[in-house]
Amino acid sequence: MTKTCLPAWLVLDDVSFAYGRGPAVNRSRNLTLGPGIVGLLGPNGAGKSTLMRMLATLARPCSGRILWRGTDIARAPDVLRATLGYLPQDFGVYPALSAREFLTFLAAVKGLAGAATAERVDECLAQVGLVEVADRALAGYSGGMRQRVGIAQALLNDPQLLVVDEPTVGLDPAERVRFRHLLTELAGERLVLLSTHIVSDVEASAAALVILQAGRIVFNGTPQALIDAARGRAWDWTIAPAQLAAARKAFVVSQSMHRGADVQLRVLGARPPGAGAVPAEPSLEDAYTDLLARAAAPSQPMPEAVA
Amino acid sequence: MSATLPTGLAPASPAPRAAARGLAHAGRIAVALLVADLRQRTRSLRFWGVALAISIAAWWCLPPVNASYMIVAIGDHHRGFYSSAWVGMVLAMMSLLWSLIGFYLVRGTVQRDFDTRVWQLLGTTSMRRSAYLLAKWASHLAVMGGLVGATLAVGLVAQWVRAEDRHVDLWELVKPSLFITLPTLSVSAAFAIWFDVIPLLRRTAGNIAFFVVWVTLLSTSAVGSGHDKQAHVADAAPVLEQQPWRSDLAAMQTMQWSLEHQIARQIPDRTLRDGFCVGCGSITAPPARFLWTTWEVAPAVLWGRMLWLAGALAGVLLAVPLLDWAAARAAVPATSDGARTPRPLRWLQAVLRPLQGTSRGVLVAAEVFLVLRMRPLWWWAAWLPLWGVQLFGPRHAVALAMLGGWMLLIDAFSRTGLRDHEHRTVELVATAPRAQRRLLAARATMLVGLAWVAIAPGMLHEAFAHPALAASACVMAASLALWGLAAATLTRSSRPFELVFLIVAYATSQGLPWLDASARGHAVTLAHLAGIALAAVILAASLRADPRGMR
Repeated sequence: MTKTCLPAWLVLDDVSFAYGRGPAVNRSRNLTLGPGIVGLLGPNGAGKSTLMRMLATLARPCSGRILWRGTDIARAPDVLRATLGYLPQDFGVYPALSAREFLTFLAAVKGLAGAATAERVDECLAQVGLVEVADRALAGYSGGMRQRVGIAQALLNDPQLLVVDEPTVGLDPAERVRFRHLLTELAGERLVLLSTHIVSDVEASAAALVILQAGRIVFNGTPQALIDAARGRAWDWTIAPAQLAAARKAFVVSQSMHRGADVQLRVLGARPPGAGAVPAEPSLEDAYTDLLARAAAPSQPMPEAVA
Repeated sequence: MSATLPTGLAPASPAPRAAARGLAHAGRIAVALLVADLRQRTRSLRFWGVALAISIAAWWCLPPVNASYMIVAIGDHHRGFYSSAWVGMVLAMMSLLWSLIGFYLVRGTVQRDFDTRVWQLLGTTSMRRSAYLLAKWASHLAVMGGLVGATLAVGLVAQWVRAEDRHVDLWELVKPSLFITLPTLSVSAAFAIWFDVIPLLRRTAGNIAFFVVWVTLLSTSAVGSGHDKQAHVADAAPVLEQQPWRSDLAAMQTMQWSLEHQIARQIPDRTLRDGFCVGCGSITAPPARFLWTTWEVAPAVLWGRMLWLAGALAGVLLAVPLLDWAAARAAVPATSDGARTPRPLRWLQAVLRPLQGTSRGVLVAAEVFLVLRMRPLWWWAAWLPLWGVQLFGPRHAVALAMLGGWMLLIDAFSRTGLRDHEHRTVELVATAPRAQRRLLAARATMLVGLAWVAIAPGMLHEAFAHPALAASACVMAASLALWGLAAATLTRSSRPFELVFLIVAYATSQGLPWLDASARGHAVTLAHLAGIALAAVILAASLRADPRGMR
């Protein structure tokens, strides 16, 4: 099984986080990340946003360390902040300002030097396609346009670590494709952490995957490694509609589709679910679903790339 | 075959049964809303902070016999022995004050449902709008009632500790709060509903407007509470029937009447003629005490008090038709600034351009734009007369015009420290290095600058003739600006600063020197300098505080 082998820019060393005195919601044992796009996947409540907030210096781990190029970011957050771009899942803007003014303001907040700021703001506006409306007040922007402003602000300081949390929520299909392209362009010599629960977003752009479930990292490897782990475990099975409920109960079903009078299922498991089931090539989504099912049942063998 | 049931056992016709079911359903919804609302409120630190402050205030209202002040007194220095009845009466007399504080504490829950989009979940159910608003009103009343309950508990402790009359009579303790305080608070609770429903009154403008309403109510109560010349000859029992059933909102007149008629035989007529005072302050003679073991009150008076409660209830129901309209208005803007179109203010851009060469200047300029761009036309127009008076008016008018200038900036003072929370930009700015320090410096600079610009013509007016007064005004302006920022940082709310500022401004307009730039003497200036130092300490401490794990 292939493991990601990257220079150690970001290291999570036995990190855990809990809200108040509650149980730990994130126990990320060990993780080492280098430049490139890393997709952070997991079901709702898996602890993705908590991990993102810790990486964005908005929350401190209860135990363990997060090292950015050797510096513990809980002790010296400004070392990371100077080179961090963060797009939160939910954020607001100042409606009285134009996009250009808002970005200029945030550039000043980030401590960028005055002379180069205007040029950098223009570059970022161009990257997200907002040049033509840059002087309009943000009060009149649509949700998608505001999201693009959010992306632009994350790029202002030309960050080495770009943390984007559910970035495509609220974008239409064309904007989503545009954003994926932008991420690919940006990847180069920086580490992009893309948190999402939309597998296709990751499939299109991420070179590495980290999958969380119930606060634990259950996979750390390449998308291909995840697919390879599911190879031989995906089956296409056509059944009568009356059997659908029973099949869903008995097996892990990742897709179901009506085909004439019958229903075709994509079933995940070590053995064929029944007569007529044929082996299928698993997609990344199948592999992800299979992994989560196996992680939820501890008796099931896990892929080697699990951290 | 059919059977006939006795008349009393006949099943209700379908229509009344459906109506009863509907009413029960609405009742269940109202109770669920009330419980959820109370849970949400009582689980905040703010609620318990206010409860503690009010409890301390209640203790302070019942000073020991050797204290040099009184809060409620007849004439100059007469008060009742601390029986349950008198303790209850004193606390009930503070109802107007509780109603002021209570309004600022409870208001905003309807708006919170709009802002958090909980309304989208509630509004699409079969919930009756009247049940929703009545539940909110009941919740307001329950919160304020809880605070009054806390004061009564403190009163009970005070009665025991002061040991003037340790006989506890719970009914006499609670009776004045039930019939005087509760109706007063119910009206405040109804105002809180209306001030959430009407978009214009949802924010600082509403906080100012309610203070004006409250001062008006206070003055009408005070005007009506004159001395009854017949009181000294009155025998309580027969004249009880003559007790007027009508009362002002805070029942000052009712209490005045009761005091005069019940204690006429115990204290001199001269004292009675001086009337009674609430919030009296220092006394010139040792306290003289009279017996007050019960509050004698005619049933008609109690029904009169209940009219206020009914009026409040009716007021809430009158707001029901506006609720959906208000929710729709609240849903339009993406932020709390509303859908108002920002003004470009090109002249201001030109004025501030020299600042924009440095990152600090960019921040200050952006802060100025954020404060000024959403202002309506009337706000800009209001500066003309204010600055005109500051330039050419007599000294006292100049001071009032300066106060007016600061009043126009009250929301800037009180809300700037909350901007990132209100606009949900905390995460954008908090992930930048040393951003909190940079922003705080920029915001303090901007606010102090605006506070000075607001009184610039007045300072110019005074600068040559009375430079000390101009300097004093400068200090006051800086103190106001920094306290606005500090209070918002400390309380995460604009209301405490707005309430205190309104009280201080009102007191200044009534002759106290607290914000009077024309007042001579250094005491006020020194107090403001101390205030600036304290605000600076709070702001510096806020940089060290790390409530969300941020540094």
